[in-house]
Amino acid sequence: MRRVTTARERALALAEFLDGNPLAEELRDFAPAVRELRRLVEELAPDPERVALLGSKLRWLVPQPTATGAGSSDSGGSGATSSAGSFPAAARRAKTPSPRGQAARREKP
Amino acid sequence: MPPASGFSPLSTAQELELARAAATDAAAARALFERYFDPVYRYWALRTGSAVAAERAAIATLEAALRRLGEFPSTGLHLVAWLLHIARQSADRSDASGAPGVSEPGAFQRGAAERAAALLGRADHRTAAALILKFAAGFSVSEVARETGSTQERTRAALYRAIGKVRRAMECGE
Repeated sequence: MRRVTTARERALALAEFLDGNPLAEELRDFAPAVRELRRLVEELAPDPERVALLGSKLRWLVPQPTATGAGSSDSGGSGATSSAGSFPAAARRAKTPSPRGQAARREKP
Repeated sequence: MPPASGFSPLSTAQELELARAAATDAAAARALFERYFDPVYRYWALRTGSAVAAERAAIATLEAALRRLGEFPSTGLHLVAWLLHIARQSADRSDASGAPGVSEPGAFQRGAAERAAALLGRADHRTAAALILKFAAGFSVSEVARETGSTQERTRAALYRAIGKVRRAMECGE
């Protein structure tokens, strides 16, 4: 194993270690920091239930389904903001009457 | 070395397919949001040192990304790297703090973002992106460099500095 003396060489050796190679002898004392950093990034992971909740709340983020009956309880309504209008599908929907709307108009005398 | 946990990128072909679908399909857009919230949130947690700020910024980043799906390049770039690029742009415009959020604070593991800030300081884009792509997404260092449009040397230096900061902080804490 080659000697590691300069910062550049240490950076290279640590990068090789991060990619799964053995750690150079001179850098043994870096191993705990690598483990800690790895653990830190792991602990930053969001709660999946929270992410799902956000996904369900932020209806304005996603284009609304256009197929008849395809909407779930999450579809419909634009939420608190108007960002949905920026989506191609939302733009098309704005121009195209919904099937429900068309049916309602047909029922009118 | 496998990724830390939680997030694993799809193939670039699958991601391109997902991005195209998400432009017009609500279910695909929500799937994209829920799958990629994780790395974007972690990135912002490293940059802001705050779980609440990270949540708001991650939402803003994904909102911007969903608006711009047509710009997602079909050149083999991973979606997560593109999202972090958008996150950087929003940070450059300093508009993340004004991002729309949800009313209640996040229920994420409180303290992790703050602990990251204590160990690393508020990470810059290059460092945060390298840490997320390396540790959360499991890319090799050369892949991280390619995905972020950086050189391997700069990427190695960013990771080395981050490890050095944690090492010094651990020494001080002992």
